[in-house]
This record gives sequence, structure tokens and C-alpha cells, in this order.
Amino acid sequence: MNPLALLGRPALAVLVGAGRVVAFAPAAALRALATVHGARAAVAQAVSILARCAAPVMLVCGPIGAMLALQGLTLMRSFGVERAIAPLCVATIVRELAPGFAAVVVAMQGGAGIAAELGAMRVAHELDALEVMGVDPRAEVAGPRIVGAAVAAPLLNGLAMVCGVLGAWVMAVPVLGVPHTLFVDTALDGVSAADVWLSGAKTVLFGAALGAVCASAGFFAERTAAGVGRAANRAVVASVILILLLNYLCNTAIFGMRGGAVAL
Amino acid sequence: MSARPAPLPRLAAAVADLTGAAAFWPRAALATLRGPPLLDTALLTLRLVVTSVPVVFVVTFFSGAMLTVQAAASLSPFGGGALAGIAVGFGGVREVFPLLAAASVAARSGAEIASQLATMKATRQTDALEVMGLDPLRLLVGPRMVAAVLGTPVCVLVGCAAGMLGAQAIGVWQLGLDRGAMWNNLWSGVVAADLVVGAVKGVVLGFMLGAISAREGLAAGPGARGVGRATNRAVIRALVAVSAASLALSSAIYGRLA
Repeated sequence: MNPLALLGRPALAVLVGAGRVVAFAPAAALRALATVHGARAAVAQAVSILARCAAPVMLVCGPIGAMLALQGLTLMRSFGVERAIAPLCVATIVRELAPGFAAVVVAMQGGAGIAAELGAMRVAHELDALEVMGVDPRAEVAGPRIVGAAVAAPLLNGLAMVCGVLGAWVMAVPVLGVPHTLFVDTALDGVSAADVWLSGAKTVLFGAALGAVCASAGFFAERTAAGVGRAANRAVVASVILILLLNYLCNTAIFGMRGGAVAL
Repeated sequence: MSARPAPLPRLAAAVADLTGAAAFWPRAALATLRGPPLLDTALLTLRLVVTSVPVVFVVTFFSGAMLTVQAAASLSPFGGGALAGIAVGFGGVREVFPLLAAASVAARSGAEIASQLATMKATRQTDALEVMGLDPLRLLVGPRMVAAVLGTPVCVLVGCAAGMLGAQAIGVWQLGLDRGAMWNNLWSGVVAADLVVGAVKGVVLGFMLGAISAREGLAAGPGARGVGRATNRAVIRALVAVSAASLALSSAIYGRLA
């Protein structure tokens, strides 16, 4: 096989996929929001994503907060700054870990669900049936799911923050013996209201992006059972990569190109 | 949307489902021990590594980059760049990169295992095997379990390296830190034992995500809908299990030293 073709084929596939998402998703989301009926469907989708993702978000973010406290305390004890454990944990969770991992959970649970559902509708010719009846399946089926993901993600981010901080508290206070009053009194020293708002804004972006990727993957799935599985698989992988990439770009935009290194 | 059953039967169904999932694990472990077909095993292991490594590389590279930007900003009152390198290297290699690498393997290859097995179930290929007196657990699950157990540690180590490279690239090109100092800081908190721990974690997490994905694939409902749902379930369950196990392993290994 031609080695150049081997390299070019995945690159082309990525470009085609990205083009599809850009051409398909914003129009679908806007058209869904243009009608009252579509907006209501979007709210229903947001509620369904919230219900399906709440438990996984708690189960994933609690341990991550605890892990952060454990390793943070190990590192900080060696520098003798363990008094700063609570602000460090809370700031890292609110700014980074909660939005990042909440979005990954939404991609794996909600996003894969969207792709699987739309793919199954494609296989069962339900999307074609809608079109025949003169109903636009983009606005009717895909759009509300994209908007729903963008609405649900920031709310799940809030839940992730609470669970992460609780996890960190459990590891720091009862297990590792940090005084409870120290933890509670200093917990909010590292974050401002702006951090919470920025974190929420990031997750709106992540939710919209993963909703768009997953809805397109499902909408354009092959018409076989195997095709639906592949669509859900591809949707998850692309969403996770996109979330990490966007997270890095957001951080650079928020902290500026030179970040905190100015202080050196 | 179909009407939902009452909460109590739903709870009972969930418990039954989880029990079924837990009961599958020893069967999956046995399936790997009963001599899975060699060629399939080798090819599937190769496939898992080749398809997962690019995903793992991109995900951990950008997580290293993101953590560096974030840590440099948060730690600037304590001396910024130098501490950021130490914190990212230490926290990254011990926790973040292995966890994200395992999550990426679950998303790329775990979901693929689930969707392949679910497709075979939906098209009755597994039934056909059983009718011919062949055991789908040994023939289909065994090789995939071995692939996950062998491939995930490789992906974890690649993830650690990629995360460090991401942190270094951003530290040097974007934050303008000194090249040699940044690299030294990144590795200053890491000892060789951390990489061994990472590989051990990779083996355990690989077994878990392989077993979960295979089980969800074989328990898939009929048709395209069943395949999609199985893929979805495999991914999210693997993520939850992997992050819980990662914490349990960390506190067992590092908690004692702290």
C-alpha cells in the first residue's frame, strides 16, 4: 500500500468530519432555538442529560478531588507549605479539574448516547421518515440535543466542583489529619467569583462542542448496526480530544500567552 | 420517549445489572487463562496499541500543556515557573497522565471492543459460535482482554512521556522558561518507581476496562440501538471504574508513604 495514502487518509477523514460538524451543527442548533417547540425539546434534552450524567459525575469527580488532596499534600509537605492545601485544591478543582472532567463525563455518557441514538434513528430510517413528512430532522432531533448538552454541561460542572471539594476534604481532613477549621477557613482564599464564572463559561463551550461532534457523528452514521457502534466510538474519541484542546486554548486566552511566568 | 418503569423495579434492574457485570470479571479472567488464539491476540494487541497511542498522545500532551499554563498562573505568588514544572511533573506522572491515558484507551479501544462484540451479538455471530460448540468467551473475549492488559500499560507510559513533552513545549515556547531548567524541574519530583507504579496501574486499569467493555458488548440488546447503547455504557462505566480504581491504587501505594 502507498505509505502516503496511509498518512493522508486519516487526515482527510478528520477534515471531512470537521467540515461536516461546522456545516451541520450550528445551523441545527440555531434552527432548534428559533421555535418555542424546539426550545422546549432542548430543555427536555438538557434534563435527560443531567439525569443520566449526575451519578457518573459524582463518582468520577469525588475520587479525583481526593487524589488531588493526597498528592498535593505529599508534595506540599516536602516544601513545608501544607497550610495552603485547601486553597490549592479548591482553586485547581474549580478552574481545571471540575470543568475538564465534567465535560469528559458528559462526552462519554451524554455525547455517546446522542451519537448512538441518532445513529439508531438513521439505521431505522426514522430520520428519513421525518424528512418525508416535511419535518427537518436537524432542527427536530439534532438541534435540541446540541443545545441540551451546552445547557447541561455547566450545571454538571457545578456538581463536579461540589463533589471534587468534598472528595478533597474527605482525603485531607479525616484521612490525612489536616485540621477541619484550617481547611474550611482557607478554602475560598484561592478562588474568586470570576473563576467560577469563567469555569462555567468554559463548560458551555465544551458542551456545545461535544454536542455538535456527537450529533453529527450520529446523524451521518452508516446504516448498519456496526456503523452505529463506530459512530458512537468516534464521537467519544473526537469529543475528548476536542475538550482537552479547547481547555488548553481557554487557559491560554484567560491567563494570557505568558501566563503566570511574568512573576519570575 | 417511552414511559419509565416505577423506581423500585428500576433499582432492582440496576442491581441485577451490576451483579451481572461483577460476575463477568472472573469469567473474563478465566477466558484469558484458557489459551486465547495466539494470532488474534497478537493482532488485537497491536491494533489496540496502534489505534490508542495517537489518542493518548494528543490527550495527555494537551493536558500537560493545560496544567502548565494553569499551574504557572496559580503558583506565580510562590515563584511561578520553577514550582509549576515540579508540580506538573509530580502530579502529572503520578495521577493525571495515567488516568487520562486509561480514559483515552477506554474511549478509543474499550468502546471499539464493546461495539464489535455487540455487533457480533446483534448479527448472531456469537450464537453461531456457540452452536458450533466454540466458546465465544475464549475466542472473542480472551484475546481482547490480553490486548487490554498488555496494551494499556504501554499507553500509560506513552501518556506520561507525552504529558511531559506537552508541559515542556508550553513552558519553553509559550511561557518563555529556560529549556534545561524546565526539563529538570519536570523530572525532579519523579522517581523510577513512579513509572513502575504507572505501568502496574496500567495493567489493573487495562483489565478493568477490557472486562467492562467486553461484558457490555456481550450483554447488548438487539439491533443498531442495542449496539449504540452498549458502546455508550461501556465507555461511561469504564471511566467511572477506572477513576475509582486509580484513586484506590494511589492511596494504597502512596498513602502509606505520605
